[in-house]
Amino acid sequence: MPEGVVLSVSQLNRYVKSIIEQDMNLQTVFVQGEISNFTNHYKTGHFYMTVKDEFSAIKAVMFKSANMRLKFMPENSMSVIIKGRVAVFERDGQYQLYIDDMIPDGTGALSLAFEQLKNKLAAEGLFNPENKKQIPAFPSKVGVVTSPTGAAIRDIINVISRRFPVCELVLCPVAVQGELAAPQIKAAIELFNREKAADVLIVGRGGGSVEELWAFNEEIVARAVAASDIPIISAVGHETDFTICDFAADLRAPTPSAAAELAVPDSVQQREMIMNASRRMLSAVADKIGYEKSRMELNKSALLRLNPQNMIDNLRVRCDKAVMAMDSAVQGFYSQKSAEFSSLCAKLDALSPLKILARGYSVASKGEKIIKDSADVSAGDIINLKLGKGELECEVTQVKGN
Amino acid sequence: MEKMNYEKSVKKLETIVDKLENGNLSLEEMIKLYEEGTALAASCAKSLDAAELKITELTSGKGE
Repeated sequence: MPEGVVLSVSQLNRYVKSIIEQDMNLQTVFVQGEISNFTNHYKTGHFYMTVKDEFSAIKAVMFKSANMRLKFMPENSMSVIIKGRVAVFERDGQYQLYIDDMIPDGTGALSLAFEQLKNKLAAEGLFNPENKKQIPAFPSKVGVVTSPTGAAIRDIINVISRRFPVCELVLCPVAVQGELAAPQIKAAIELFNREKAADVLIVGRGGGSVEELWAFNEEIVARAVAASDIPIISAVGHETDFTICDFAADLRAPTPSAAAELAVPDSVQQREMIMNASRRMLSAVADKIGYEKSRMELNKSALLRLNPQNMIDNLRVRCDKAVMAMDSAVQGFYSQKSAEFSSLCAKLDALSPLKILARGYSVASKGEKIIKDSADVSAGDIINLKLGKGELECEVTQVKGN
Repeated sequence: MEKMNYEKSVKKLETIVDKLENGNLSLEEMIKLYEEGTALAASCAKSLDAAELKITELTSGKGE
């Protein structure tokens, strides 16, 4: 820069800016420090802060486009590792740190590793719901991969003894923390699969610190869990602990006890189911018997209706009725005829000549011939007079004409 | 269970119940199935009552 030339402030700032921004070392820097004066700008969504250590501080900004990707919210006095670049804000003559990404320092390293592995395996599809296997309803063998001495195994044995002692528990003891844990857990899962030694596997351990649970966040464990043909229930730590193993497993249980409950049915419910089945079978058979009985009754009454004895009885009744009708008809005819006869007899009686003679008339006859005309007799003839009682022989003394 | 495992027994029992309820079977067939079903139910209940959880250990030595 030529001596004696007067610059404007803008020119100066622009010059400094160009110097700084030419330096490739400043284009990607990793800085460790503590956050202070943190502001989340309410309008723009950009983060403004000061990053400092014991002796120094630098202004920093993280634009919304970058901070949207953060998995945590920065806070004052949080220790972080920042990836960014150094540049100059020309207006204020302020050089500052433009943050691309940051992670919490310290324990944050593990959680970062966790997030990274989780994202990686998720991208590979290891956690896809469609790959999850169904946990069998009634396992014959429940495999357990855990420490032989921990609380987890005790809880699992207790729960399964109580709920479903019908099954067999197959234990494969492993270390659940320390260097050996992850390879042993992996080997145990593979052994179970090779031997087909269980219908369902419980993989897990009781509660502990993040470091103690770490084996269950190891990639080899996650891959072994995902690759298992035997369905796996993951049960690591307490309800609030999530591990990669949980994501890779077919089912996550909040605790080992809960895993045992998910692995086997409840024998109390099973008993109810069996009793219910017995009741249903009985009522089905009883219904059938009732149905057959009523069918039989119907047939029986039909049979009774069609019995030939009935027809014979019916015919006999008809026959008896006919005989009775005939009898009464004959009786009627007879009494009618006998009444007619009596009245004829009475008439006959009334017309009898003897009755006429009884009233004072008499019948005159000559020889055998009844005299109806005086001309038929002559004086001197002997005629017979028949009276009501007795007869007279008379001599005709005179014949008179009419 | 020695002869048949619990799951198979329960499945069989469920099939029998279903057949009895919807099978349109003769009385003789039904009674035969009913006898089989009650025997299964009894054996399932018995195996639930039966006792202690069997615990074995799987070691990498086995079968290798």
